[in-house]
Amino acid sequence: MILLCGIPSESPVEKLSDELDILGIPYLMLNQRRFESASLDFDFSGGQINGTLKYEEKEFDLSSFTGIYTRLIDWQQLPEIKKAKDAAAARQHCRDLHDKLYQWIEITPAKVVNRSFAMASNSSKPYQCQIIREFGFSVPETLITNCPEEVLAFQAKHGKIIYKSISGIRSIVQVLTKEDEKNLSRIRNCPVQFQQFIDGFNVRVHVIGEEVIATCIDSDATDYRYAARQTGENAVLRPFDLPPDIAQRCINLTRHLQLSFSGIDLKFTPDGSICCFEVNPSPGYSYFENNTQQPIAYTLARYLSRSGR
Amino acid sequence: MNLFLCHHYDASALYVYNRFRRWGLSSLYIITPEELLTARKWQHLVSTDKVSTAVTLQNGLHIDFYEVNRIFNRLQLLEHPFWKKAPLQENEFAHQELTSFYLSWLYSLNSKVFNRPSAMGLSGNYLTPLQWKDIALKAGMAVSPDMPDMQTPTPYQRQLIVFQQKVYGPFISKQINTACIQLAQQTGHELLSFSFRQDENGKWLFHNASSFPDLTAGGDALLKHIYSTFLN
Repeated sequence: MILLCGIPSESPVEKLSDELDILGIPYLMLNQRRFESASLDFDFSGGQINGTLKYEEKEFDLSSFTGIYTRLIDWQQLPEIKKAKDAAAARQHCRDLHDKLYQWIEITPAKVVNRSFAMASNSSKPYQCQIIREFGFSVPETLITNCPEEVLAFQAKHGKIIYKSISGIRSIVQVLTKEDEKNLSRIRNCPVQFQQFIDGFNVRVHVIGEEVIATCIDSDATDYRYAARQTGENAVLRPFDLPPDIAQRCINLTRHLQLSFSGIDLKFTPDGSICCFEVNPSPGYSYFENNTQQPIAYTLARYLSRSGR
Repeated sequence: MNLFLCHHYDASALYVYNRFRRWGLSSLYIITPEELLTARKWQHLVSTDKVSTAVTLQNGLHIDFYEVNRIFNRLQLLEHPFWKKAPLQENEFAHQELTSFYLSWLYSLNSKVFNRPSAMGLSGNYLTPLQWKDIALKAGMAVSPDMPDMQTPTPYQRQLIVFQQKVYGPFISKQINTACIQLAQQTGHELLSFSFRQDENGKWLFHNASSFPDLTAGGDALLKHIYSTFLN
């Protein structure tokens, strides 16, 4: 059986559960918002760790889950925590459940999309860039600094530069404008990441196990996810034939990071080089599937249902 | 230049620092996270071909990390005095950004750093208590029957430290020593501490492990071993 963890109405989770329904693959949806009806218990006897999940008055032996897809949100953001009659008890129960769940996901022999330790490389983009370089991709020149003069020198070198978050916290990629330059003194207390702007077209590569699905994004926006806001026009997405050697590099990079599902952001530049920005360990693939009908959820469902880690 | 990166309250690191100085290591500077967080200027450049980092502290000390020989790293939690006063969400964002930045910087210095960073921790790979228990069981150790609580750790009775396949600390049994060495090797840890508790029958049970031990627990024998590794 497959275990889905997260919020059922969240688009990537919903798409996967729909696909599992179509394929007739059995699964359990562990809805984070119903945490009050869930508990996890472990037993350490017999030289191994056994466990039981109780959920909505049913009991599941943890070893019955052979595939796990996790899109857990921060439990502290759950509205039910705030609404609970006994808030302290609800927080305690919710925290314990998530602690145990996260810990178990790291050790289960099941196929997991994706484990925390594997996802962690994306918590620092410049750190991940240093790993990406080892797989034959170029990376944009990146400066992290708290010094406005250094930023201006970097801009003078590259012409157009962008800024974005260093960590995995989502930010909207923005070009550094004249207006922004006036506020550069604000970076003194927290170094900020600046990057040379790379010209070319964007390709999102989803790697699922050994399978690759690539999508080309046509947009003039600096951050195509916010194309309508930045340019007034939505990005246009279409399936893309990735050269086999690049596809293999994407598989190798994903495998090296110990991810079983990744969303790799590439840019094909006018001079023929391929620049890699990041490897997303929890891709919001539904946006790409909705716009291209590429079978990402289907491939993911099949991957999770196959035996072996 | 040799650097000790440690929190001002890290008594264990300060003890090691003093020992290293006494044993003759010169040009050794302690730099605290507070000094790094309030630095006058940071410059960390990552490109396809190279990575470089330089910092100028408030006291004027300029460090080009290309010129640093060795770093003894004990950085864990970064709390910027400026952001502590900010609203919670901004404080958390700044904390994430700074931790991510420091990970990139420390990773780029890999060959020179004692306690190499990982994506799971600035001073090494963090494993959860359940992961340690799972690995200990697979290494043939008896484990305590309770579910480890990540928030409120329970006390232990004995602690051993393994460094480069040598065990330091109180002797429990040859079998436990062998299992500890095996476990450190298996998880790729050069330095690892193991804590144990005794059950009602006097049997020693694995309690937890940590890649960030109290270095004084292994005595001077451990510190001399670390010192010679740090120098070479």
